[in-house]
Amino acid sequence: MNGKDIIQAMNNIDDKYISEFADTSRFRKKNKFYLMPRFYGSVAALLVIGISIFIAMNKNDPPIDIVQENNNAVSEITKNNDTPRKNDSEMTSHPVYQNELNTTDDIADTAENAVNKGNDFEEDNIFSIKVYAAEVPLELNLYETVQIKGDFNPIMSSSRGIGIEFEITPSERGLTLQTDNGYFVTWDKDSGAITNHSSEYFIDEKSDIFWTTQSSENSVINILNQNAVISVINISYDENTNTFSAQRTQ
Amino acid sequence: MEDEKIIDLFLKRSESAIAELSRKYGQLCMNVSMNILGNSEDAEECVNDSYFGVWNAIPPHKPDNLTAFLCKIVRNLSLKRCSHNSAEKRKSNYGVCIDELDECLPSQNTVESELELNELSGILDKFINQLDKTNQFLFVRRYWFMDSYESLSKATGIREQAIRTRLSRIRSNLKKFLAEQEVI
Repeated sequence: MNGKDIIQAMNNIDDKYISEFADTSRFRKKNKFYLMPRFYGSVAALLVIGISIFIAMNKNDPPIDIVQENNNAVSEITKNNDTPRKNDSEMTSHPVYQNELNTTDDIADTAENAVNKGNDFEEDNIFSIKVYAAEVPLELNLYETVQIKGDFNPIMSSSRGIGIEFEITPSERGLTLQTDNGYFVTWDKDSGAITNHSSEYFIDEKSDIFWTTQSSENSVINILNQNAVISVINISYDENTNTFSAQRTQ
Repeated sequence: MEDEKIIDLFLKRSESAIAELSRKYGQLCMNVSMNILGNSEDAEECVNDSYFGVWNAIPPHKPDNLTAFLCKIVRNLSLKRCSHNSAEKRKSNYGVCIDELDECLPSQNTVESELELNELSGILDKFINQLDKTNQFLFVRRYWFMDSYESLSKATGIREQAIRTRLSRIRSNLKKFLAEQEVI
């Protein structure tokens, strides 16, 4: 038996198949509900697969709104982990920070959960900014306001009386600080010597740097890496309370 | 015109019978014949011969299914003509269909007796009956009407490649079925 026999034998198959399938357009109309589910079934299957993949991909990441709310938490992780964290008791000891600290602690918990997120940042962007508001440095997290009680009128700042003290741990390539108001000051702890610098200062290793303002106007400190601004600190001064407020906006 | 009325015209030996038959089934007959012969002149001749065959057959016959009755005559005549012309066979869908079926039924021994052919037809009926509707359509349209893959795709809305795959699977199943029926 071969193909030709089948073709020959096909001639005597039941008439119903011949008449039913003679008109192809009729078959399609008649069976559209048979063919359509296959099409829509495929589409539905693809949708289900797509949604499953989407859910699976998002399962390991915190929801987007949480990430946004805790930008400061994420930014904290981008910083150098060598810098010791201030403990809670130290933070809460200063009345000026009472309100901020609660927020910081809440966010810090979330931040620890999001540690992996920070690992995606480029090596060059790893730096740390801390500000001395009291005797211990505080992480200057993104969008978090840190208030620094000014000890001197009219506009002097930190408890040391030199200026607002930042503890900055730069990336491997160093960081440049620029300010639109005032200048930077370094203080040699051993000799006690104070050196005034210009409105621009380069740091290549972990340093304590003071920023001193010359007026009570709002000021900006830009932090640059390779000529690109990677962070911005806005500083305002409230004469009534003799308090500076520092906030990282980038 | 309804089939019954056309058959009545044939039974009454009305001259308009063939005209009505041609009006209703002319295109279908041409398609069947063209698929087998691949030549419009030969196909036209075959179709006209088929009308003449129907004229001679009714009466005494009074077919229950005029479509199948007519198509079978057209197909038979077209196959006969094609078997005498190997060049036509090569360039038509008929030749391709034989090749496809030969792939799953490679025996050189052919079925010669009418009895064996009828038996094979019965087995094919059983096989087609167990296929789902779309596969029935594809199998019958491909190996009875000898449609091209392109026209099958247009008719069903299924991609050509998918139809090839389906028909290949159907042929494999046919081979198994024929083996189970101890035909091969």
